[in-house]
Amino acid sequence: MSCNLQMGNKDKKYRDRLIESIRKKRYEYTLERDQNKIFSGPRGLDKRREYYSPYNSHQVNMLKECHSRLFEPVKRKTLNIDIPKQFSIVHNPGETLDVIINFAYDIRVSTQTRIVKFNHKIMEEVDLAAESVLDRVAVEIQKEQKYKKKKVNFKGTYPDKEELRRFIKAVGIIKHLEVEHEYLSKSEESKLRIFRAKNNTSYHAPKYNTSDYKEIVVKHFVDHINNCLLDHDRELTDIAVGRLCDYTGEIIDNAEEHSGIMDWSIFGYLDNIHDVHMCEICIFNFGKTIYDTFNDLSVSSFAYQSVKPYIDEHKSRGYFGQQWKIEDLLTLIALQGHISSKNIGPHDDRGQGTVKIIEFFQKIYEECSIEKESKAHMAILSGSTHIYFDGKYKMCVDATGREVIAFNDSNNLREKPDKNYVRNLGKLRFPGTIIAIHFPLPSTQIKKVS
Amino acid sequence: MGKEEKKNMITIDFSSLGGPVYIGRPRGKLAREQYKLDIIDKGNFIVKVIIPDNTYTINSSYFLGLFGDSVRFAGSREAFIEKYIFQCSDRFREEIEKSIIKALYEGGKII
Repeated sequence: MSCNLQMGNKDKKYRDRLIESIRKKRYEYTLERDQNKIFSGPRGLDKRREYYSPYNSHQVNMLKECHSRLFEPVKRKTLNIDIPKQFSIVHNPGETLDVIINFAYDIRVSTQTRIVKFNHKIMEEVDLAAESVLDRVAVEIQKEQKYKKKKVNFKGTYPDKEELRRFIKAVGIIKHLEVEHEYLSKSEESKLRIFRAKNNTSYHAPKYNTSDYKEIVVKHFVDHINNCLLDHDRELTDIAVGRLCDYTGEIIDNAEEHSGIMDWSIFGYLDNIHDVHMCEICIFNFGKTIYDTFNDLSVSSFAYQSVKPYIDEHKSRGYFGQQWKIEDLLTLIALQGHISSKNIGPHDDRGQGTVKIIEFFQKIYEECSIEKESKAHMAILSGSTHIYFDGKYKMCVDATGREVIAFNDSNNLREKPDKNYVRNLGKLRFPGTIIAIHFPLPSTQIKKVS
Repeated sequence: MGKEEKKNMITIDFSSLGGPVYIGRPRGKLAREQYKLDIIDKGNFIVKVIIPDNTYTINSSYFLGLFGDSVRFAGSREAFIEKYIFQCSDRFREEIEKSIIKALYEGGKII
């Protein structure tokens, strides 16, 4: 009789498990109710997104802040990214930057988007810089999706031209999003020269007996350039190798030390299949622009004092306006020899890397080129300032012995530069710096130069 | 530490410091600490510096991190190159000379 009135051990265990299960459900319910309170309000969706998506791309957020849209876009399931005919940071920076910034903005605002379609159909010209920056946004979005239940899928249409399709597959969106079934065949890829390196991780302490990542990248980048030249029966001299290492190293140093975030990328591409062997290089970083690094300086610092006379001169002449701003002047001056926000005295020789690397490749082009009709084209885009190089204006030594490139006939920094070469993009700005270089190498059909 | 070939001879071989690209003052300073150059500068040593031919570049920042304090301790270019013997190709000698001038400038000395 007693065993029917007392609870057995098995019943006790069942009861305990039942109570535990109810407690757990109550706890989860309470948690969700509290979280809903946290996630309520006008920014609730953003907060929920941040909470459940541990990775939130700074780069996409920075680009989103650069948008100039007056109205929010219509939220739709499919986001179409229409690549323009001339998708180039060098030749068409305004329209190109507009596409990239709007992509970042739309993907952030339109939370219902499940498909992103890249339409390259009408694209007839592309440069590595434009494609690399656009693809970076796509890769960042892809990284964020990893933690989400409802993911965004990427689709696209290829351009009509074969060499552009090859470009997209080799170094474009196909490669960056790792769409393996669309990769080029190995035989086709073996005829291309491709270089890719980036650093967007936290700082790693260097060691005395091993090269750090920056040094390894510089070495491989120089080897890539040399291999491109070797395909055309040329190679860099030992002195040229040293200089290219120094210039590239300085650019990477600037990206790491000035920008405020560790994020730089270097890409290289040469298509030996196409008739025109266009060697392309792109170096870009997110973070502070060239203007920002000078703007942050103390007024009494040596670096700021070295640029102040030019600012005062332009102000007194009434040059500043909508199309020519202090930002543009400081960006231009920062390119001059021995001008750098890191200089602390007159013997510091920082501040040569950016223009020197451009002139370096101009020189390579001139030494390799047999046909003088085609030109080397290069550009620097930092913030809203776009500076274009085609060999018309070159760095020359001024009366003080300093190397100057002022982009005007008198090569005088106190005068306004040619607006076709140094211009402000208005409301469009890139949150960082892009260096885009492309120059043709002679194809093997032309007589080989020993 | 470097090999002691003679009683007061120390060897710094750049091939044991990574390479063939040497960039950045922090790495130069680490190498300086590793070879204890602060102590060597004060002692009766000769330092043989071997730069391999396959070196791409030693930029001035790296050089200043490694040898800057030694140049300033020596007090002049002549005193420095008497103590530090560089075994390298001619293309590096020009860079070394420029870096020595920078190091002396950083120390406030005018050449």
